Amino acid sequence: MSPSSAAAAAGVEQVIGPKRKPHAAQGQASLPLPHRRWLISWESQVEAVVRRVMWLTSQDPSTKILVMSTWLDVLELVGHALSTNQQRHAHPRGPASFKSAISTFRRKDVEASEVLRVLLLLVKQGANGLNLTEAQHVIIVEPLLDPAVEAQAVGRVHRIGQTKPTYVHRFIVEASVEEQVHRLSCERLAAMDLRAASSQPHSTTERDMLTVRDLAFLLKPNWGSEEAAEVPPITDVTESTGAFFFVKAETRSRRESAEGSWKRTLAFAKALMPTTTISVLFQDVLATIFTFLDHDSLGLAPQVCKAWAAAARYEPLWQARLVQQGWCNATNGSSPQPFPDGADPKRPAWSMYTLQAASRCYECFEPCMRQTLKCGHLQLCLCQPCQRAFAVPQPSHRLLSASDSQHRYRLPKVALEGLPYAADENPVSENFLPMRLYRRCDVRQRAIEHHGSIEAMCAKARPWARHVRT
Amino acid sequence: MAGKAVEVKLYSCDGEDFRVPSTVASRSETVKNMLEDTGEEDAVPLPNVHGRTLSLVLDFCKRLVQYEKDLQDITEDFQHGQLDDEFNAWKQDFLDIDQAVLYELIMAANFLNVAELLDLCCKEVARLIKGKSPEEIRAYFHIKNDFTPQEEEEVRRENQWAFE
Repeated sequence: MSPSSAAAAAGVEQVIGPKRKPHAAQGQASLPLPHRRWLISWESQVEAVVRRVMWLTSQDPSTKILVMSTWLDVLELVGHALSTNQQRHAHPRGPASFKSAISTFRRKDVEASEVLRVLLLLVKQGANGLNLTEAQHVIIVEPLLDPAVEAQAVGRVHRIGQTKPTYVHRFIVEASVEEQVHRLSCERLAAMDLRAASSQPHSTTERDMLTVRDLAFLLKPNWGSEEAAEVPPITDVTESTGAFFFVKAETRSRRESAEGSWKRTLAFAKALMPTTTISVLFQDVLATIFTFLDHDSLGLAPQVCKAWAAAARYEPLWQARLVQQGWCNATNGSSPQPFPDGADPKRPAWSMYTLQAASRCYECFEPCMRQTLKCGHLQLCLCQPCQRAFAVPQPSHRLLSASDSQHRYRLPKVALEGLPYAADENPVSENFLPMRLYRRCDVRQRAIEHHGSIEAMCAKARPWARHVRT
Repeated sequence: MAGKAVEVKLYSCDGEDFRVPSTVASRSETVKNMLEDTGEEDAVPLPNVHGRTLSLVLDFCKRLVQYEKDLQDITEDFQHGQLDDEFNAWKQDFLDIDQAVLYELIMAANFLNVAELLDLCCKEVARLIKGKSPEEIRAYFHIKNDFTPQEEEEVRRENQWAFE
């Protein structure tokens, strides 16, 4: 028996653990920072792994062991624990050390004391193609979510060329998330077998995806209790095989506290999951949607995000708008009405549109060269009928008179101070003071500031005032 | 109509199969072209469309075909408005769906090239956008603001034209 295995045999009964508590070990420079989740299981999981390694080497001094984990931190911790217990091991990190470690691991023509018995590998490092038939044991430190990856990992050892029986050791911490991971992994394995057996077509992405139900299942509290095996109380989660699924109803649970934690869990799960949002739409579809917007919203939509700004630059959108407004012939793109200032008809549709809009009445988009009075900050065109119409304000108006803004948005007069306005003849009587017309979007913004938030504004404003334009 | 009796088989991406009259299936330009290429006996695979969405699309196509057939049958002018009202009411019911389903429906309509459905859904989304400020839109549609403050200011200035 080699000295190292003698030491191992002695150590089987008493694994030497860290001298201080794990969280204290964090401060030591020589120790790798343990992964957060391992702080609690330094004693149990790592010790169990080291104990198993030592037991295996004591049973059969010639045996070789592969220790696999998903996390580098875990392997460092295991490596540290192994060196504390005088177990020779290699933990390759870079490609160069990986090569040399593999070749050392494979060598047989060395003295027993020099033989490398334990190789620590990341799952992703060792998962593909590597041939390590020298080893007979695979220790998987924590359960893996994907059974296929686990099968790949085991496949390093259990493959053609292997002459000895091989063993897989899986470690699962009781009453922790790992139980759930293991259960899920088993379910997925069963599902894969079923799927392989059936001739039903299925999408390849399905296996790689975690659904909300899976995540909720993983994150469900009270691990290890019998209830954990029950279906999580998410009510209406409809899953689909593709990349989409819908979460409709709220969580329902028996206890109030449980409900709170469930909502958090589900919110977290939802945040991680790719739900179908408006961002899935292609740019041209988004542009099609924009063609149905009104003038004001067309100016606001590009301010939402970059994708929307890009979609708003889409040329066919503006051509469609020009045709819709009757500012351009659908067939040849020529303008039925002359352009102001001799504009070049070949310029982009977007600028044609803005030019046309600027030369038209602000309210009704009819051709109009009548300017509002120059004493205001806004220089607008407003045709005579529209100007007259302000005597009786309409919900559809883009401009609001001062008194109307105050009334609709429940604002004091001072709140309107500083807003740009256009001054025009008072429609009621020429002898009255000029009427001040404010842009609805400005007034709305001011109302939001005045009332504190959009919700507060919506609660206080009169029904049709809530939107920029209804 | 000669093609009325012919049934075609459509396969969604999750393997569900739908049997619909070819008049209904042909409302989708994509399916129509495929049927012309391969003949009406073969099943048409639609790998981009989920079964749940496809059933909605086909519901719409059925109702549309029905509406057009009714339009041809009417004799009096006043019935025209009545049919329109009925169809519009049905559309309202049809659009009473989850936002996520709406986007899937738009994608399906875009892929299947059902112009009427695409129009209907796009109008619905436009209705949701209309009258909201950019922040409200972001909150409502769960869109992240990916502009830097400078870019935001710039894009705001660029789009001032709408209010001048």
